[in-house]
Amino acid sequence: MGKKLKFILVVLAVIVIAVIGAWIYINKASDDFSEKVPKATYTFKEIMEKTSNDTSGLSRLVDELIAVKGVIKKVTNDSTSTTVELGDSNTSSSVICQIDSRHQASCSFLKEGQPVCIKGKVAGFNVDLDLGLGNTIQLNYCSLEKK
Amino acid sequence: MKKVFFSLLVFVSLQASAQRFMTKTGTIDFVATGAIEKIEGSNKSVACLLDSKAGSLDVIIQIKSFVFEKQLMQEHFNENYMESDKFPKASFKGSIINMASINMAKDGEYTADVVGKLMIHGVTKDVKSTGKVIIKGGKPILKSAFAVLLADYGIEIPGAVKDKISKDVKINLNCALDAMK
Repeated sequence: MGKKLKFILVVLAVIVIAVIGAWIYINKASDDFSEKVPKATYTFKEIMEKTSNDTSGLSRLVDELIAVKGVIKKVTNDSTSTTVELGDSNTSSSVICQIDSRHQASCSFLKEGQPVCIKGKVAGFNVDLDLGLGNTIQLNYCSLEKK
Repeated sequence: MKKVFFSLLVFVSLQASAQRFMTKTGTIDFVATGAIEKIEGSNKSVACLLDSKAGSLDVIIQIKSFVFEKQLMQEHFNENYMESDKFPKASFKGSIINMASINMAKDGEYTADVVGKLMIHGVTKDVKSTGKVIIKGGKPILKSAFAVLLADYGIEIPGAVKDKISKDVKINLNCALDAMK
């Protein structure tokens, strides 16, 4: 095999590897956190207390994976998604969990009043002072915590 | 049987007479179709509050609650376009100006003329749009479809992809509201 041919083959191989790498990088699916260990586990009461007396601590939890133990206040289903609201009837404050579509089937049995532990990535929070919506913490890519 | 009918009547009457309705699990989907690819995001945890007496409407959206199929899309959306660490929320504060023509006690589909202030990426603009209010069992479902020009809200498209990414975004809002207790 001539030197020139060898060089062309190496260049072609590098190009093919680069294209495959770029394709994988561009099309990589969003992270699945269902098998990952949450940074911390809170009860609904503990995490909601942070919205009134530790918002800086709560800010540090944004983008972190946490688990929240609470009672289901509402389940919203459509063909492609399930959203679970944790809370209780005494307060309008709640934790909203968007169930990861990859784990929607395993959450199909969830119903109001059921105690659960849900983990997800903290997307943000809203401290409501005037609308009467109560404070809200939002979790994304949620799944049921099995432990 | 009478008891059941009476309870049902009381329930429907209470729903119809309720003044404030809300949800924290409303949906906003957006689509931006450009030459490179179609960018789609979905947020299923939109807070929405309607005062049916005053016609006032509030919508609060956490930007990081938008989910995407592809991780890279989500990163670009939050870091390069929406700068969601700096501007974590978007909101709408306004009113349905023809609220008087919407009969909350009668099931049906009504046209809603909405005006108010839309805040995205830290920029607030006066907006006017038309949507639908669907009354079902005394509860309203709000639906609206509108487009937003990225430049109006100071959202810059990086030079390298400027001609390949859509300059406007089509947004769909869908909020099924419950009476506030």
